[in-house]
Amino acid sequence: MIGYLLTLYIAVGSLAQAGESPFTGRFLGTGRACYGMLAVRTQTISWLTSFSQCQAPYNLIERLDSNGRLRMTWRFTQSKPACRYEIISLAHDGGPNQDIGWIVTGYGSEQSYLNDKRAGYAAAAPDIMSCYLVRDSGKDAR
Amino acid sequence: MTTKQKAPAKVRSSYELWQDTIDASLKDARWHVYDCDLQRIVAEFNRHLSGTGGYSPLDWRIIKAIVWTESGGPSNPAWRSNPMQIGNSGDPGLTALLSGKEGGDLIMPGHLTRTLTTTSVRSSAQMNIFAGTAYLLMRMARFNIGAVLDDKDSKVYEVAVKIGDSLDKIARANGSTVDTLKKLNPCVSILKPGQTLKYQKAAIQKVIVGWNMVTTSTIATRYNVGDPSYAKKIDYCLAVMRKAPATGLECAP
Repeated sequence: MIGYLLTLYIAVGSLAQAGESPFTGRFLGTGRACYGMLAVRTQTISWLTSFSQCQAPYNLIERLDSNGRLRMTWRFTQSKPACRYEIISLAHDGGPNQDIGWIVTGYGSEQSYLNDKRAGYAAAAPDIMSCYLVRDSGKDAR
Repeated sequence: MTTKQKAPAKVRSSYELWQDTIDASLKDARWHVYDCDLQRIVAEFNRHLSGTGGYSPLDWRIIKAIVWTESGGPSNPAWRSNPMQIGNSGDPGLTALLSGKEGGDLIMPGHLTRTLTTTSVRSSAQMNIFAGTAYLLMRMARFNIGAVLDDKDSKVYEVAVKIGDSLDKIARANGSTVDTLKKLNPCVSILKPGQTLKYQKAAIQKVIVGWNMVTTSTIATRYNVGDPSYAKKIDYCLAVMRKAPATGLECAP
């Protein structure tokens, strides 16, 4: 079952990568745990927070846009001990303002991502962290 | 003919965008669903810590403001299971609270030392709020090492001094402390065999000796890790709460 799901989402990801222009942007988090920055560039993603420092190339594994609710999921292709997440997902709440209402979720493993996806993205497992973000409108993703 | 030039749209700062997010609480009742939990949890800490080192009761709205600042509100899935964002992977805060080495056991009411675990803190919003509040108070407390009387045995005993005894030896042999012996026997300076000393059961432990005042500024310094606008954000949340219409929520006593 897991193998099937993995194959499915990789296939969806390939299609998504082929058909869409790469998403880029810079976002800022808030608070004790989530203060920091998410920068999505064409080749690399940085997600720097108080307790985890991720910066690596990535593959897009999923891009969904249903009823204005955009969700993109990427997998880091390099791992470093300071980075606690293998997969990250960025979603918008579907509100009219594209500068606010963003949520980034980090997953410690593929299994955790698949479980969370099945559970409707509740982000309740111990190796998952979900942070609220606003877009850093004045800056590009550098 | 004059041409009116259109002023360029002002780019809103990330702080202003964050304020827009918090302003949503004025029209969305979901932002207030934890009010009764917050009042109950903070009241429990206030009861438990009352009388320790000049403790002043914590205002539950401070914890509500921290929940808003940490989670960004109910659109974040963390709102449902981890609203104070404590216990995330790599966060040393929960480990410090549960280690028993930094005074967390003195801050938490008895039942929490048994039920607050790394798992429960990540699966229950209420346990997460308990943990975040306990961690905040642990960071606000001032601790010292001192003699603590046995709360299960307050009886005053007597012991006869023997040849070769010292206060330290008598304290160890009788489950007391040198400070307790000195306090109960203020006139004793040199021990003489046959002399009678009073003692109570006591141990050397970490104790709460005082508190840093809980302000948005001390929260930013002692609880927050790296957000440079933390105090300003807590202040803003409190200001928005004051503007919010009454929810009409009645909490069970």
